[in-house]
Amino acid sequence: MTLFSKLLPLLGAIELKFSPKTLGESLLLLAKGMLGIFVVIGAIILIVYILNKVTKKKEQ
Amino acid sequence: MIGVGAILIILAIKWEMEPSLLLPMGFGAILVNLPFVNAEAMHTLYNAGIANELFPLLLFIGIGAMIDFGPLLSNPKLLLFGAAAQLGIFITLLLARVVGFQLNDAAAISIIGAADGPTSIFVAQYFNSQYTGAIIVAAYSYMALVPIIQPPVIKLMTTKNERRIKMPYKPASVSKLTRILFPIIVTIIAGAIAPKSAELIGFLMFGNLIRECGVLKSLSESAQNMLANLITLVLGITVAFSMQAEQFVKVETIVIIGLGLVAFVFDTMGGVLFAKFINLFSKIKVNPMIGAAGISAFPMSSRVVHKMGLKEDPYNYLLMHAAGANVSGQIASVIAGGLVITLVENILG
Repeated sequence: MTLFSKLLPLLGAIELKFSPKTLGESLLLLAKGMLGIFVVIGAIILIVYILNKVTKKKEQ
Repeated sequence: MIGVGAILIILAIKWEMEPSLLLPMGFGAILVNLPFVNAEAMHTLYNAGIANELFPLLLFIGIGAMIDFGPLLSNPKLLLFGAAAQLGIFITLLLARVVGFQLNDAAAISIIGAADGPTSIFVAQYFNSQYTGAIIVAAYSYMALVPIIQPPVIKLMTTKNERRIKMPYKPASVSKLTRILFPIIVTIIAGAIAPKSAELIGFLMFGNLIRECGVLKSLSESAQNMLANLITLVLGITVAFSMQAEQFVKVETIVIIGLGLVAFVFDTMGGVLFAKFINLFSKIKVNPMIGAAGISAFPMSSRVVHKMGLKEDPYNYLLMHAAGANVSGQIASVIAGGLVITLVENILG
């Protein structure tokens, strides 16, 4: 039995199917996800700047 | 599968790759795959802490108590590198979908790119992924391999002159009040914008609040040591329950391990590219390697960047900047986990 014929059943057991149609949906997820992270992080940066300013004034 | 368990143990002991997780996982994989073994106790522990995402949340209390956000609070712009270094999550999600994984599994696989074990477990369990075992093995293995994965990617994306950019460290002082309010406010913001991340970020920030409040020293020490060690001990061996042969020994496992590498590579690229982008507009240049430290693998990534910086210029100390970016990656990765859950749940309905 050749190596290829031993591997063939293994390839047949793969449950995955190449799905290029999902590219559009996934690109949208990428855009929304990265935008979402930057929005949340942006809000946190703003708050930290305000906190640093306010607490610095109090200390002075 | 018993062989896989043995390999994990060897990686843990001989190569010291995340031994606190890989050793218990390896041993658990052997135990759960022995013929005629019931593994009832492991099943009970799995339902008690993994299936309901409890153990990763408890571990986050310990992790939060260990983190000093000082360098980040004195230079909040570093948070942006943490955000940029989550690119690998979404690239991996895209690729996982294209190769044919279902959306819930692709989302779980993509979180390997968060470079954070508890977040990976949380999201994989949330989506009830059938590949939880492979995802967790990949996540922890690649976290240990950061010193091998990141340097070639960084060198490919940067020039020698860029790597030699000096960044003197002049920390602004951070008040105690800021340190106390930070975890509370971050939880509120993250919870309001990405509600699914509220528990993840909340437990992390709770641990940090215990550390920073100054009145719970023994609780903070318990969280950092006893709680973190106890949960880690149980987590590793319990996660192995999902490493039964029929679930783990599949071609898909190899694909997932390949996708995990893609995630880490694109995380690094995302951070470096963002730093280079910032340099186009900024008078004070940022060493682009700092962007690579935005990955959540703390503190390994910051040490890698610091070492690479010293190699290029023995007088360029990047550690504190890199540590700030690295810590921001912890926050960003948890937020990313919550966002992935929110966005994918909206599609799944």
